Amino acid sequence: MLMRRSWPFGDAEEMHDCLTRLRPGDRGAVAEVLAGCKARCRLASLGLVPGCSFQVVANAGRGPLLLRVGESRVMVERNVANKVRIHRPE
Amino acid sequence: MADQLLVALAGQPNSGKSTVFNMLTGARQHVANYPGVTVEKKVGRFSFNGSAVEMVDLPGTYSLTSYSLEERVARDFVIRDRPAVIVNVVDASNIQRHLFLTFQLLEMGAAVVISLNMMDVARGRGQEIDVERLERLLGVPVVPTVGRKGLGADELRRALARHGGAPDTADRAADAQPGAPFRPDFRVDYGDLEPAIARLEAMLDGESSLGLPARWLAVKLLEGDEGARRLAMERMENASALLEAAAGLRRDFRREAARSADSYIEERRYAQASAIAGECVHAPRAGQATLSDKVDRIVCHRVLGYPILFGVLYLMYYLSIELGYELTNYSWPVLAKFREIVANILPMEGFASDPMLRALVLWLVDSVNALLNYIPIFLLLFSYIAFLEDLGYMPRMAFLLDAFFRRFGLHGQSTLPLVLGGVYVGGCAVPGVMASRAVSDERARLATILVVPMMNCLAKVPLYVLLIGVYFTAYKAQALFFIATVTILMALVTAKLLNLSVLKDKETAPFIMEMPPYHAPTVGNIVRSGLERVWLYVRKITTVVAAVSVILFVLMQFPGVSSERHAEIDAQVHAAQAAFFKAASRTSYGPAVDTPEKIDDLFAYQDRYKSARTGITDKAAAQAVDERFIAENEPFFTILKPKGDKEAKAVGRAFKKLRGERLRLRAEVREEVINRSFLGSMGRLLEPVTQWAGFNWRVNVALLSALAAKENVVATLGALYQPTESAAMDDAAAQADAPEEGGAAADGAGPEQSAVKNAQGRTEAPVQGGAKALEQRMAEQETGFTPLHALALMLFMALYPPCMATTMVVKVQSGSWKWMFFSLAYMTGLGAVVATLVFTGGRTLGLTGVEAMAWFYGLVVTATIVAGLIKPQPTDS
Repeated sequence: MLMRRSWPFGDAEEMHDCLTRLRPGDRGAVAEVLAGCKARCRLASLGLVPGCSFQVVANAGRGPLLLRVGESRVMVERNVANKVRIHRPE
Repeated sequence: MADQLLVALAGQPNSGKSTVFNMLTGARQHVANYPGVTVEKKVGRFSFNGSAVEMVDLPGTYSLTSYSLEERVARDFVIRDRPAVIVNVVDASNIQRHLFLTFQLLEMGAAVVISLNMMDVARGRGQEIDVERLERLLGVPVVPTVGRKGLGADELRRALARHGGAPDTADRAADAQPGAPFRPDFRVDYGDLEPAIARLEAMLDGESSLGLPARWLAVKLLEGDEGARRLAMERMENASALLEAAAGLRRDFRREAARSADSYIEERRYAQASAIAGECVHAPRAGQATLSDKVDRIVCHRVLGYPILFGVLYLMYYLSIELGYELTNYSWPVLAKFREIVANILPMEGFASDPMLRALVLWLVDSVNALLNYIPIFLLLFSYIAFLEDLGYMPRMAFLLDAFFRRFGLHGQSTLPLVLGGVYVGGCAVPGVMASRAVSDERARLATILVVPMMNCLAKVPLYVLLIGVYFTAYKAQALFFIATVTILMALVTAKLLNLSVLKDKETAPFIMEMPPYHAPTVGNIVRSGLERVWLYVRKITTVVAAVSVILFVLMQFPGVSSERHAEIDAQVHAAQAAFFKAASRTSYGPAVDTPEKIDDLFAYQDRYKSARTGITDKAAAQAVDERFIAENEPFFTILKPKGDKEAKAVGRAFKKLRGERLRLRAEVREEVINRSFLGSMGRLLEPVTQWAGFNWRVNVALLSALAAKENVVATLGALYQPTESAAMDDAAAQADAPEEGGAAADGAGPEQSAVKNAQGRTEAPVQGGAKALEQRMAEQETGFTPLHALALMLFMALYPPCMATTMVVKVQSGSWKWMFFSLAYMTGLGAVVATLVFTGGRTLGLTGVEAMAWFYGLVVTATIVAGLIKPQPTDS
């Protein structure tokens, strides 16, 4: 993780990171949702589609994560969050 | 048909949909289920400008896909019932996200009226919303509302009457303006998918049987929606060509765009919603941390969150169980008074047994009273829950506990049902099972419904306390802790086992939920919600309990005393009465009590006097009661309170003796009746099996009677462990002395009644009066009963099938008889296995009750840890 953060080059593909790695306060944007249709669709209806930016409110290292998406706060189960690839802002 | 407008109310969760529903329909609403499913369907009515409107509250959904039951239900209602108007409640402070659902409603060709709700919240956040622009962009009327304060109701009604083609056409014509700004042909621009949509639309051209816009079906088929596919096959002659074409187009898109069509569609909707929100909402403070965020930093904190959660739950326990129980001290006299009034109307008590009608009606009243007595507790409990719901704490609770419960196949949202069921001591499975409705994952919901009855409901507590008081005197606190905590552990293990077996194939849902901002709850809503749920409980439960108690009565009363025994008892009655007549005839009071009927009158007179004096401490008031009774029948009064009158004293002594004899005979008859009853036969029939769990037939009878209500266990044991002769004499003496003491000693209730009253949840010093004697009687009469027996009995009671009331709620909430019977069967089986394991296992190993308790606890803790470590099944593939 550290290496990736300090890596100054690389294309977007390499910048992809996993949502669960973000810490509270970190911002990011959804790159790709690799979860099943059910979870992906639910995420989309709460505004978490590729391209959407968000901020992590809570990530305790276990249990669900809490994200701020626009004006909503969204809880995401850890299993699903593990399958969400994200971009970090530069 | 023509004079009723069907309106549906749709909206995402946390849009304030229910407040809008209440605002529009007021009190005129009722709750049912959507056909074939357990999703609650609220229907309300109101009239506007003389036309009647029927409003159906659709389940709150984020979207309208086939992936969840609620979404399917909402979508099917729009497709099949074709409401004239759909009121779409949109959270004004979060338009972008809520438009996601609005788009899908519009695509279905519905006449939509938007209720732009929670305008006050949006304003509070500094948002300025251009409502007219939103109307123009979407092509539908947008009415700003504040549901919680009832603002905008009339505007909303007017808009939906106009927009939905109210039957009042004159009014409509007057209202309609030339060149109305509404064009219902709003469409989301699906960009690269538009050519594919156009191709499918062309194939659907001229297809009139669909009854829905072709574009909607085209988009849905490209999304790969299962429900849309089925609908096409159902409504179209030749759907297969269309479906094949759609599948081909999906594949093509995937190849060209390197992504799935459905995720592209979602993205386009999102982009459009974002664009519209950007155009209509001016939000200078967007993206800033709100007050809710600041509070959540503590409330949802990984460490601090848990003490707060514990505090919230403790307050629930304190308010409902402690305070609510205090309140029952005020409500119980009302119920007791009701019983007394009924008792006075019914035929009088006989000498050794009572008329059937009296016995049946009083039994019925007692059974229903036992449940009605919970009303104050439930009122506080339900109001507190409404408060937490209004406040928005529930999702936080789910957030904090989801990871833990998930390990056992439950859900963060299972917390509330389990707490209501009685996680520590004192709860009720009925509201617990009812609350499981909120669990959004079907598998976890069923698991919750099935394990909630294992919790320690209020009615199980008296038996625990009775047994612990008799058999674990040296370890009272530890034993209570054991039974209170071992139940939740067993429930977790059971939930896990159910998940791995019978529930394996049930649908699951990922835990992805919105966490709404906190709201200040309103008193009106809390009271309304509390009363509504209590009323629901009363309506659903009392009828079931009444019906079951009648059946139980028959099982416990028939076939009754044999005719030879009857003759014997009659002879004893005559002998006792003759002795009394003889004593009385020697005095001047003889004529007052010279027939058996007059004796019955005297007993009834004494009972009435006692209950009239109960609770009266004031001297003057007591005097007034005395005078009333003297006026009614002076000789009777003097016999009961002879003062200096020697003759009356002599009759009084004879009467005391007669009373003792009567008590003994009544007890004998009662025992004989239960002995010979169907239930008694069943108890004996089961004895060969249950002996391995340490239950004799008496215990079996008590447990069988618990099916109606768990309170019955202690009550039935009270009837089975009859007072011995000397105890009866003491009892009689105590009762005969009662008038002198203003009836305070006897409390005006028999042992059964006080046991039932005790069953209402008092955990400290719960067994008083008649039930106190029961403790002793049980210890004296069951000499073979050991702490090991008691332990097995307590564990069986914990796991024993839910009472009838709970069983009915299980049926309602699981939506099937199958699950109801399964719940009955598996709990009985599990209870029997555990009780047998503990009793037979403990006896084989030569363990004492306390040792067995410790071993069993260790075993359950181990099982819980193992169950928690088994990897949960992936929730989504």
